[in-house]
Amino acid sequence: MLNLTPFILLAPLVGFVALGLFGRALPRAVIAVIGCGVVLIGFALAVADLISMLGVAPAQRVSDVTLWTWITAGTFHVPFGLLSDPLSAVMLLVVTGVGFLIHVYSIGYMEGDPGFWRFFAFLNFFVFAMTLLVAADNFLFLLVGWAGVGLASFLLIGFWYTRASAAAAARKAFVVNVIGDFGLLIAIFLLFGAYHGALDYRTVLGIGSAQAVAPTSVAPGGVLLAIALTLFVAAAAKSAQLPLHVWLPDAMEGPTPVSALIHAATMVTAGVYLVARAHSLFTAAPTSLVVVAVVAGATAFFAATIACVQNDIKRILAYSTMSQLGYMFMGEAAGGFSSGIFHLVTHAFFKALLFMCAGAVIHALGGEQDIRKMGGLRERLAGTFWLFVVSGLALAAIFPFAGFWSKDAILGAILQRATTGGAGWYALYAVGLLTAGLTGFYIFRLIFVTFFGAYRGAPVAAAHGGGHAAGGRAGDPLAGLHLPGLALMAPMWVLGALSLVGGALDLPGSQLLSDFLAPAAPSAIELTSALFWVSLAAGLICALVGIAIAWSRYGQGQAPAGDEARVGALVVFLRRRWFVDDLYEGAIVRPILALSRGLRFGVEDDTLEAGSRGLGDAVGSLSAGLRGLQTGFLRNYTLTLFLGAVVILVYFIAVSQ
Amino acid sequence: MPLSAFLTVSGVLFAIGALGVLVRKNPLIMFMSIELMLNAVNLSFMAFAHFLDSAQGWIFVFLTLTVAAAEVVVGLAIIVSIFRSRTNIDVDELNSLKG
Amino acid sequence: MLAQSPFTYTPTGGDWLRILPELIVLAAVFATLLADLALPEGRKGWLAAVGVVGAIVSGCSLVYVNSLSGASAFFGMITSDGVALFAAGVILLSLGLALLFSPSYLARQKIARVGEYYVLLQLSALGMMLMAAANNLMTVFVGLEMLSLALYILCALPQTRLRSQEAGMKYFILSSFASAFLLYGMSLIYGATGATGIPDIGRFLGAHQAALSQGFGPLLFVGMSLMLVGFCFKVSAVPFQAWTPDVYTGAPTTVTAFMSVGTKVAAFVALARVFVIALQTQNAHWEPVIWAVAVLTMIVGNLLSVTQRDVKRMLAYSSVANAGYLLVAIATASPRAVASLLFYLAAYAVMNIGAFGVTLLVERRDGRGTTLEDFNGLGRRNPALAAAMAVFLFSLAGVPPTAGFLAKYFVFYAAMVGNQVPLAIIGILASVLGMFYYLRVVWAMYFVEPTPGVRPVALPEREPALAAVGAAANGAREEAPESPEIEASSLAAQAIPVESVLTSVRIRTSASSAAALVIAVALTLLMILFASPLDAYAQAAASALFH
Repeated sequence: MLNLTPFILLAPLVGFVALGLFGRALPRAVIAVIGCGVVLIGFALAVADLISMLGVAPAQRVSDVTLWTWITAGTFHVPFGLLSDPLSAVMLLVVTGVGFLIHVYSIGYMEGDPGFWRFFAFLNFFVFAMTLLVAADNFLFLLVGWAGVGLASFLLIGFWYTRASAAAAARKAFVVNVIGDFGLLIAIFLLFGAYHGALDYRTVLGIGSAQAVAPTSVAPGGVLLAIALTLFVAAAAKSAQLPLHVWLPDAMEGPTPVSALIHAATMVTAGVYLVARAHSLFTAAPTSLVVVAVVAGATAFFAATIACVQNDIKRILAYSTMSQLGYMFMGEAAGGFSSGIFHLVTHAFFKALLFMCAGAVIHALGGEQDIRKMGGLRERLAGTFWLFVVSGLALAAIFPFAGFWSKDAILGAILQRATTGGAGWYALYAVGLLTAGLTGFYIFRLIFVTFFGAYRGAPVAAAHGGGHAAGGRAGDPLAGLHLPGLALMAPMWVLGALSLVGGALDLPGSQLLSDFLAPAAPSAIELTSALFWVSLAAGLICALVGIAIAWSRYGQGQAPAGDEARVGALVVFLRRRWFVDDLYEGAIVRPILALSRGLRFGVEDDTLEAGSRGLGDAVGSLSAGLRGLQTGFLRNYTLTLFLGAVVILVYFIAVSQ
Repeated sequence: MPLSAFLTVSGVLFAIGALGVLVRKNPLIMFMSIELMLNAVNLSFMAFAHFLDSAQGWIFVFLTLTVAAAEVVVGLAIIVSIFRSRTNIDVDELNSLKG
Repeated sequence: MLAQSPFTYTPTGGDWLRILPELIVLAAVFATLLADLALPEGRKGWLAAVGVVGAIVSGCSLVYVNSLSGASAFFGMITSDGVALFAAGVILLSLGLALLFSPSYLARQKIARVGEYYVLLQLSALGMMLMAAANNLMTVFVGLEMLSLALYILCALPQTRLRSQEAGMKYFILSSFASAFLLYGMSLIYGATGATGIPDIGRFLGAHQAALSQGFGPLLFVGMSLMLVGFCFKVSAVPFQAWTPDVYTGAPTTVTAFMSVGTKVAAFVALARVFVIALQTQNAHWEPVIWAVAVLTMIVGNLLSVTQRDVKRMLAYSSVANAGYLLVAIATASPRAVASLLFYLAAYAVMNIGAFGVTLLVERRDGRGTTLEDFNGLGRRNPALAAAMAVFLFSLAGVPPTAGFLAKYFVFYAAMVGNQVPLAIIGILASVLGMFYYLRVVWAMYFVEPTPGVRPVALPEREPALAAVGAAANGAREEAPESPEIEASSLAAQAIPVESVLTSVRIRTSASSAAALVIAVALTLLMILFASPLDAYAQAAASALFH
C-alpha cells in the first residue's frame, strides 16, 4: 500500500517557504498559482493514497513510515513517523480538498489586499500544520501540529492587525489555545508514565499492531480517566466547547476565507479528530465519555440558542459551528465515532459553503456584516442565494441534503446508546432534537432576513476595482453591488454539489464511510435498524418545525428588531450569551484583580487602568507589583540577599535539630 | 584554645562584615566590609586546617588572599571610574537601572 | 587525605593534556594581547578573529581530550569528564558567537580599549571552563572569581556611560558579597568533612553518616545553606536575582549575551557537582530548599518579565525564569536530570545569545533603543533579522520543534520520572506564562507599524499619522463592533508613509554578526536533528558522574 503522506506534508511546506521568502516580490498571479497549486498537489496525493488504500484488505489499511528517530534514550523513544490509515486518509482529503477550494476562493476575496502574499503564505502554513496534525503517528508530533495550527489561526485572525478588535481577538484565541496545548501536554506526560515512555499510536492506541494492549491492563482507571479528560480539555479548547468557547465568535475578525477554512471546516474539528483517534482511551474510561456527552450537549444547545438572536452574519455562523461541533462530540460520546467523523466531513462541505456565501454577501455589500442592514438580495445575488439555501438545508438536516444523513447518524447513535444507557442518554437525545429545531430556525432566519423583503441598508458605494459592478437604475441603493467573480463562485458551486450529495458517503444500506472507517473509528448503530428510521423522522420533523417558525416570523424579510422586543428578557439573556462572558469577568478576572491590587506596592497608575481588561492584565499588575521590589538601590539588593540567606540558614538549622 | 573559640571569632567577624555591607552607603566602606568577611573565612579555614591537621585549608587561604587582592584592584578601578564621572559615589544615588 | 602530602605532587604530561582546551584559550589570550599591539586603531576588529580561532581550536581539542582515558588531573583538582567537556563546548560556542557579534557592536557603541575587551572576554570564558571542570572546592572558587573579575570590568567598560558604570559597581559589590557567603560555606563544609575535593566530600559523608548527627552536623548544615546562597546568587535564582536585570541591562549587550549563558553553564555545572554529587547523601535536607527556590524562580521570573517594555531587560528577567527550569533539574537530582540540565544549557546558549544578538543589532548608538517600540515593524524593516528573532523567541517560549522545546521537554520529562511531578507541572504552567512576553515581541515585529524616527525612549509620543490610525482604529471599534473588514484593510494600506520611516531607522548587519545569527538560527532549528546523540552523550556523562 502506498504512503504518500510525507509528500502531502511537504507540498504546503514548500509553498509556505517559497511565498514567505519571495512572495513579496512575486506578481499576484504567481502567488495565487503557488498558493493553490501546492494544496492541489497535496489533494491529488491524498486521492492517490486513498485509491491505493482501497486496493488492500481492510485489516491491512495501515501504513506507518518512520522518517527518522530523533530520540532514543532507554525506553524513551520517539520516532517522527507519518501514519496513513482510513481516519487520517479521510481527514487529509477534507483538509486538502476543502482547503484547496478555499484557497481558490481567497484569490477572489483577497484581491486588492496589500497582504496578499502574506495571506497565502499563512494559509499554506496552516495546511502544513493541519496535515501534520492528522498524519502524525505519535502524540508528540500531534502536539507539534496542534501548536502549529494554533499559531496559524492566531496569525490569520490577526491578519488585519491595524484593527484593535482583530488584534484583541487574535490574542484571546491564542490564550485559549494555549490552555488546550497545556491540556495535551499534561496528557502526553501521563501517557509517558503509563506506557513507559512510548508515545506512538501503535503502542498506545494499538493502531496497526496485531496484538493491541488494552489500556485497562496498562494503567489504573484513575490515570486513564485523567488522560482522557486532559485530552478532552485540549479537544474542547480547539473545538470551542464550553467553557473554552469564548474565542471562536471573536475569531470572526479574521478574513472570511480564514473563517471558512480554519474556524469551520478544518482546525476546529481537530478536537473531534483527536477524540476519534484516541477512542480506545476514551472507551477505556467510560466516565470520560459521559463528561464529553454533557459538555457537548450543553454546547450544542447553548450555541444554537445564541445563534438565534445574533445579527452579525458571521457570528451566527460561528455559533452554529460551535453547535455542530457539539453534535459531533455527542455522537462520539455515544460511541458513534464514525458518525462524528461523517458529520465532520459533511459539515466541512456545507459550513465552508455557508461562510463563502456569507463572504460573497459581505463582499457584495462592501463590508457590511449586519443582517438588519441587508434584505432583498435574492434577485441581485441569485447564485449566492441558491447556494445559501442549499447549504442552509444541509445544515438544518433536511432530506436529502448531506447534513440530514450525518446528523441523523449521530442522533441515531445517541438513541441506540440510550436503549442501554438509561435516562441521561434520552435527555441528551432530547437536547439533540431540540437543537435540530433551533438550527432550522436560526439558519432560515438568517436566510430570510438577508435575502427576502426589501433592502434596508445604506446605498452601496461603487465597486472600487470596477469591472464586476452590477449596472442598475439611478437611485438604486444596490447599484454599487460588487458581484462575486468566478474565483469566488466556482469553489462555491463545487461545495454546493457536495452539500447536496455528500450524504451518499454513508447512506443506510451502503455504509461506505462507516465501513471504511471501521478499523480506525467504530460506529455505534446499524444504519438499517428500525430505531434509525424512527430517529431520522423525528430529526426531520424538528428541523421542519424550526424552519416553519422562522418562515412565520421572517418569511417576508422583516428586520429582526421589532418582534424580539416581545420576548425581551429571554433575548437579553441570549444576547449576553447566557452571561458567560460576564461570569468570567465576575468570577475570575475581578477577584484576581482585587488580589493583585492588594499585593501591589506603589505602582504607576496606568497599570491600574490596564488591569481592567482581563486575566492577562491581572498577571500584568501582579508583575508590576513585583517590579516595585526591583528598586535599583544597591542597598535594597544586599538586604534581600542577606534576608534570603537568613531564611535558608534558619531552615537548615531547624532541620539539623 | 578550642576550635569553637576560633569559629566564634570568625563567625562574629563575618557578621560584622555583613552588617557593614548592609548599613554603609559608601561603596569603599562596603567593599572593606566584604574584605572583612573574607578574612573571617580565612580565619575559619586556618582553624580547621590546624585542628584537622590538613594542608588544604592553608592552600585555600592563599587562594582567597590572592583573589581578594585582585578584587581590590578591580573594585577600586570601578569606584574611581564612577567617581571621575560623578564626583559622588553614594550608592543610594545610583539607581538609573531599576524596575 | 592526611596521609598524602600535596607538596610533593608533580604534574605529569597527562595532566597538561587534560586541560588542553583551557590552555588553548589561554594561548589565544596571549595571542590577542600581542595582536593588540600590532594592529592599528581602525582594525582592532580582527582581534575577534584571533579569539574565534582560539575557540574553534579549543573546541576541536575537546574531541581529543574526550578520547583520553581517565579524567582526573592535577591531584584531583580538575577533571576532564564528559560533563566538563560538554560544558566547555557550550561555553566555547557562546564565546565564539559573542566574539562574532563584538567588532561591529563595539565600533557602533564607540567603546574604547577594544584590546582589553577581547582579552577579558576570553579570560572570563577560561574562568567558566575552569569552574565547570572543577573537581575541588578550591578550583570552583578560583574559576568563579576568575570569571567574575573579568565580567566586572567588562560590564563597566563603556567609561562614559553611567548605566554601565552603575551595572559594574552593583555587580561587583553584590557578587563579592555573595562570594563571601559561598566561601564561608566552603570553609564550614571543609571543617565538617576534612576535605575539599568533591568526590572526597561525598565519600566522607557516605561513610560517616552517624558521626554527623553528633558534632559536625551543624557545621555541615550551615555550610550547605551558605553555599546554596552563593550558588543561587550566581545562577540568579529568586530571591537572589535582584542584580540580574540591572547588570544585564547596563552591561554592553555582547557582554550580557555571553555572561547570561556562560555564567549559567559554569555555575549550574558546579552546583550540580557540589550538591547533586558531593552532598548526594544530604539530598533529603537540601532538596526542599532547591524545590522552593525553583518554584519561586520560575513564577517570579516569568511574572517579572510580563510587563517589561524593554526587550533587553525582558531577556534579563527571562534568564531568571530559565534558571528556575534548570533548578528543576537540580532538584530532581537524577542522572537523567543532570543530562537534561546539560542539554538545556546547550539549547539555552544558542537561543539566548541569538536573541541578545538581534537585540544588540537593533540597539542605538547611545546604548538605548531596545524597547518594544524599537522592534515595531522589524518584520518590514529587516525581514531576515526579524525572522531570526522570531526563531529565537519561539525557541525561548518552548514552541515545538525548536531547541528550546526539546530542552524544556527533557527537563520536565526527567522531573516527571524522577518523582517531581508537581515541580514539572508548575514549570509547564510558568512557561505558558512565558509564551506571552516572548510572543509579544514577535507581535511587535510583525503586527505593529514601524515607529517613525528616533525619539527619546521614555516618551511614548507618536507621529501624527500613526496617532490618527490609532484613533481611527479605536473609533471604529467603539462605534461598530462588527466593523467591515475591507475598509480596515484599505486603511492599513494608505495610512502610513512607510518609505520615509524605513530610511530613518535602517539596521545594518555586519558580515560577522550575520554569520553568528545564521549559526545560532541553524542550531536552534536543527537541534532536533542531532538531539539524540547530544542527549546520549549528556546521559553517559551524567551517569559517569554518579559513580
